[in-house]
Amino acid sequence: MPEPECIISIEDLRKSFGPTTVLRGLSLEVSRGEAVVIIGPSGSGKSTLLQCINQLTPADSGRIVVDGIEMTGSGIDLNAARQRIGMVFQDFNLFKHLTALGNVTLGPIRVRRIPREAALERGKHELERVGLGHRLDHYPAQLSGGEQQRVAIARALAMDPSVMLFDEPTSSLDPTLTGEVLDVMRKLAQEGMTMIVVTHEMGFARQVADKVIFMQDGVVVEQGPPSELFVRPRDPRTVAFLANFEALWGGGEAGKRP
Amino acid sequence: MWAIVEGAIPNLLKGLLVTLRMAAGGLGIGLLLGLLLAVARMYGGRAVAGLAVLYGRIVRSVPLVALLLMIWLLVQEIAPLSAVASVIVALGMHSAAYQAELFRTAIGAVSTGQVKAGRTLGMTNAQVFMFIILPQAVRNAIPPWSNEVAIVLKETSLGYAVGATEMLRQANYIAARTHRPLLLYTLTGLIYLCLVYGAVRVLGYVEKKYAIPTAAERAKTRAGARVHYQY
Repeated sequence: MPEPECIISIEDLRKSFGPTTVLRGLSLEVSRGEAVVIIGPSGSGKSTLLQCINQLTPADSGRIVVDGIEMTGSGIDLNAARQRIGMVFQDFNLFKHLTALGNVTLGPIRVRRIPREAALERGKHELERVGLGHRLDHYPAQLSGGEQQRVAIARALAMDPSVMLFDEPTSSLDPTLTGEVLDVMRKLAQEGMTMIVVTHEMGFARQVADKVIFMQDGVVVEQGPPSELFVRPRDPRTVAFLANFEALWGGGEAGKRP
Repeated sequence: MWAIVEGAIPNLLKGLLVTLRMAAGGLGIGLLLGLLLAVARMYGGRAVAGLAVLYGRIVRSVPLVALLLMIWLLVQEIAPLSAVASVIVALGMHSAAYQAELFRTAIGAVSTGQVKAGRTLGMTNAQVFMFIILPQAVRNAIPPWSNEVAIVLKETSLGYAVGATEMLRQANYIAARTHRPLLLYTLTGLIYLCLVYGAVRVLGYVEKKYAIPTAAERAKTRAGARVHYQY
């Protein structure tokens, strides 16, 4: 088998907000087609890491390369580079004045300058893909949280991203709605989309991730396939974090539950 | 009494036209300058934002009549503008300071998350403003703007101070001729009332028409329904 192509490479990434250091020399590689799940306690820098990848939050130092483009390079066209990096937020962040279809087609029409008709076709297709073919003309306020998040996923997909970043995509949703969003993400991973998912859904991490990364205090503490990391964590910090989950959710949840 | 009212109407209507012209001009200048001030304050650098703040502080601290007289006298020194034009400039400058505040609130009410989402799609700041912030801010601004319209409509009556023959001045002339000041001012007041009420109703209609549908009203999904995804 050929060596998998590295699509995201992060070297020695550092970021502080004032006196607070969030990322302390973090390095990470993601291969094309890989689904990576990042877990870790709150405040460990997971969201900041995602926002550094598309430079929504500029890094202090370090090097980030996404699909051959050095995001941290000087003089790069960030707007062009961001088009290929889809992002899904915890709070959905849909454009409130636009319908589902309007949300999904705004980027293609205004940024990629795709003809309106083609963009509408594509937008309908993306919404059907996330199971919302019947919600094209609904406004965000008329959609459930799960539906809103699926529109947000479709909005990112309509830009033809080479990678997708998910920042706690189900943390604002109740369990039923969480399921429908995770289903869409699972399908996406199966189709071979490269994704980095920050989440507390250990079941999802176990089933879908090719690689699980445990982050704490701004660095990668431990990484490996879920069958390794959940079952035989090596670092005491990983052990402690997973034990906390077990205490909350019952014995061996992270490792054993399907 | 009716004879006086009937006789007064043509001249009052002439004054009304001047009033409307001044209100429209003042609101128009106020809109453009106010939007500019709001944008300067929110997106400008420290210096630009500071100037916008300073402008607002000064203009909002000076009584409109004083501003009006100052501009009128200043204008006489440089290039003689008509009284009406001076009133329009003063009203515009004054209203701009207040409109800047209401636009700032309206823009600030659009969540920063949406801005992030727009930037993630690869939009420039200008595109985010045009296609995401502005369409929502305009909707947010309609109710307070309708309030500002009502205020400026009434403030035109201060044009009286520099001799613009707007509605109140016309009423004054007629009152002097007919010795019925109370009748004339009541009549004028009624016209202002209709004017303000009408304007507020029209803007209320516009607000409703362009309101973003809420959860309560289900979207029309049937074939041939109005297309909602135009921006």
